[in-house]
Amino acid sequence: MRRFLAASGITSFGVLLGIFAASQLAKNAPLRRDKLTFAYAKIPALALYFIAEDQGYFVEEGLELSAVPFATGREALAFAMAGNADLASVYQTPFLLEALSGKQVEAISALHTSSQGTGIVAMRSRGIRSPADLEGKRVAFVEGTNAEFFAVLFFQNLGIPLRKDRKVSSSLPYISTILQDGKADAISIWEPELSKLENSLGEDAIVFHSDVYIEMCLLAGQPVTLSQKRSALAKLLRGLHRAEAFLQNHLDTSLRIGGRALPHTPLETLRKTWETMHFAVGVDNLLFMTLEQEIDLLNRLKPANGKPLVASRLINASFLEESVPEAVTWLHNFGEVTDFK
Amino acid sequence: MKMGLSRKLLLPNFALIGILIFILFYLFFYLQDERQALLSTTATVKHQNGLLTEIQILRRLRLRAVLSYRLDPEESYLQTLHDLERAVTLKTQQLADSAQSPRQKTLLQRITESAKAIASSQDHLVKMIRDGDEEKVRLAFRRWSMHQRKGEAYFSDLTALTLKALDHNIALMDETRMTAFGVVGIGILVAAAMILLLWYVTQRQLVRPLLEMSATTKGIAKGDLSLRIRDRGRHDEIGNLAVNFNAMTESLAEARKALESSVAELSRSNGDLQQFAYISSHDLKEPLRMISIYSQILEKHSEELSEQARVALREVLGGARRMQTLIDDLLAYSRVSGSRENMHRVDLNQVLNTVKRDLKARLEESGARITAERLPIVEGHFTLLVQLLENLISNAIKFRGERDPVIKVSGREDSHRWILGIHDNGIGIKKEYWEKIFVIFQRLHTRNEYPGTGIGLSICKKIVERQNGQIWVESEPGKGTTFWISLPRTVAT
Repeated sequence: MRRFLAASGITSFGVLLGIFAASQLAKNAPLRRDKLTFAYAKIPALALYFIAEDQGYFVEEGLELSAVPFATGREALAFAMAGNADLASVYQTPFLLEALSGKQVEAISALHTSSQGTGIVAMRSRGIRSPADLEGKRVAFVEGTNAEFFAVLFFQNLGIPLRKDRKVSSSLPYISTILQDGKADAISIWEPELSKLENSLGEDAIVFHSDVYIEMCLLAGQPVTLSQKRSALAKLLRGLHRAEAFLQNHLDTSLRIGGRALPHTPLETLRKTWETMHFAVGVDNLLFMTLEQEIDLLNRLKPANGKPLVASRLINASFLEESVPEAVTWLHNFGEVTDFK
Repeated sequence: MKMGLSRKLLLPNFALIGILIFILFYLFFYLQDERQALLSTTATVKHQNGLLTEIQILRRLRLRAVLSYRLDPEESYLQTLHDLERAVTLKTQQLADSAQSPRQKTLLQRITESAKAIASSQDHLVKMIRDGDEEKVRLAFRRWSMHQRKGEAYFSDLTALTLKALDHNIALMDETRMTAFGVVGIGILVAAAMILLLWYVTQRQLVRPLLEMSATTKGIAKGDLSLRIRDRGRHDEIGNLAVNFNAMTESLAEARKALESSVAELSRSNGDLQQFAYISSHDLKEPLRMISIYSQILEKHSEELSEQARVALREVLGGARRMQTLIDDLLAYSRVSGSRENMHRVDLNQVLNTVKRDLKARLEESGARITAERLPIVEGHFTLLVQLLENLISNAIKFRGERDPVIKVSGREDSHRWILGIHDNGIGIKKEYWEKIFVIFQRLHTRNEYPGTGIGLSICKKIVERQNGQIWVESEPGKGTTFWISLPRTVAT
């Protein structure tokens, strides 16, 4: 009888157990760990990275991440392009300038979008009350960054020429003091430096934004390197995507995480900055449009030596399509709509 | 744990039915839920797609209106522009209300913000056109265009999301299809396993033991009582049947052994008895014959004897005759015992005719009349059957009443046998003697009333039993007696 029962059990549920066991084995199979070196800028736009790292999402995904911090995305990208890192976080302007210089570079995802992440700070005591008062004034910025692009766009939309002799090139550690030193009348700068400067100037500060400006922090690197790190990049993108949900559901905790990652930025400043930013991994039409628009402007300012840049060739959505397909909403025929030009 | 065969066979059946019902319900509810989800998503996607198309058309019309106003600052264009703006805002709000995923909600929020920016830049543009400053119009138009383009990008993203939702639905359908396929596949596999199990259980638990029992039974039927069903240590119906069967066979073997021993003993004792009876009868005849001869010699000289001596001599002669009859009857009885073989087809009509011929003198003397129906042909000994009928008819004549004897011989067919009846109108027999009369030497009357040895009916009984038949009597004193004889029906008339 026991043999009969045993035979019944084994035969009846053997198939089910087999399938269940196979699925469990597949589920519990140890993750293959992938290594990735990531060069990033220590700026509020990297919120998703800070959260994912803090919450251990990369480790859970099976990614062994070596992160190398920089003050700006321009430096991070340069580090990656020199072959020291597989991937870098960088705003679109340094990214496009790198492409314009003839380097092979591509973006695999955006990390954030903002219209007010960069602005121009001026001092009321210098007679500046409105954008029109900036005509003929000296404007400082870190060259080759989004701040430069913002300044160009801002003055262009105002119909005010930004002459070469009015541009003051500076670097990040010193730019905050350039106004008080009298070397410039206005500074084009990004968050959180913008807020910090505004706070330090107090009532004397006046800030100008542009409603047509869009900035995006991108994940970019050399196509050859990226293609070799496909698996690791998929894990990175999945980790960042998970951080996106965490941020939406736990804003205060996320702020504390961001505060720990950016210890020199007051929490309130960070909150204010984040409120102007939209964080999401994605390759969408806005990214394409922004790149296309900026290429157009940069081409006019700094004509490329070789072939003209094509925005669609600078975006590789396949990485995100494989890991977070719902985040890819870029329609490849979007660029054909040119009614407004 | 003991489990009966019926349960063993039912268990896989119930399990199979259970699995199939589970699969059926699972698929029904699973597919039902999936269908509802798909219908809901598809409806939303359709609705959003419709709104997107309408908004795109409105936006293009708005663009045309702005361009027209720029070329020809006619106030009527402004009313058109105002109506278009209101329609776009309304449709955009409807679109925002239909948002489902967080990504879609965020995007629609940005579209709403973008719409406000477009409206604001549009107002500025209109103002600049009214002012007539061409440079400012150019800048305002550029700003408005950039907002339009940004809005366009958001709308394209939303379109892509909608398309992705459709793709997701298709993927969901594929997944559902694969799940259903998987569930049905697993169900079929399990059902097949259960059927195989059922077949195996039936073969092992039922068919094989029954075949074995059948073979054993066949062997036993052929006489080999040493055969037994193999003990498999089972405790179910089949196990019990095997145990009981073996116990029965054991009992049969023991019974047969005892029977064979008894038969041998009986046979030997019967043989001895027959031998004894035969030898005794035969040996007794010689001195009896001497007594009879010398008594007859003395009878010839009876005038020389006294009256007392003559009486004694008559008694000696009577006794010798009775002794002779007794010895003859005993010899006849013993001969019946040794006559079981060589049975043939015997026509009872011929038997009756022979009896009539043998008893002709007695029939005429007694005035007896014999009537008979058509009698059957039976399997038996002609001589013995003649003796049987002679004895019974002789008794009918002997035990007649005051009327002339009327004897009727009948024959009828029963299901398995022939029933013969010998009816008379004699003195009859009381019911309490119906059994006793067939016992040897049993007499119901004194020798003076009815002469005889009391062996006749015993011989009849023995003859009938040797023919594998039975004999019994029914009678009513004063009216008559019927002797019934049943014989095996092996040959038709």
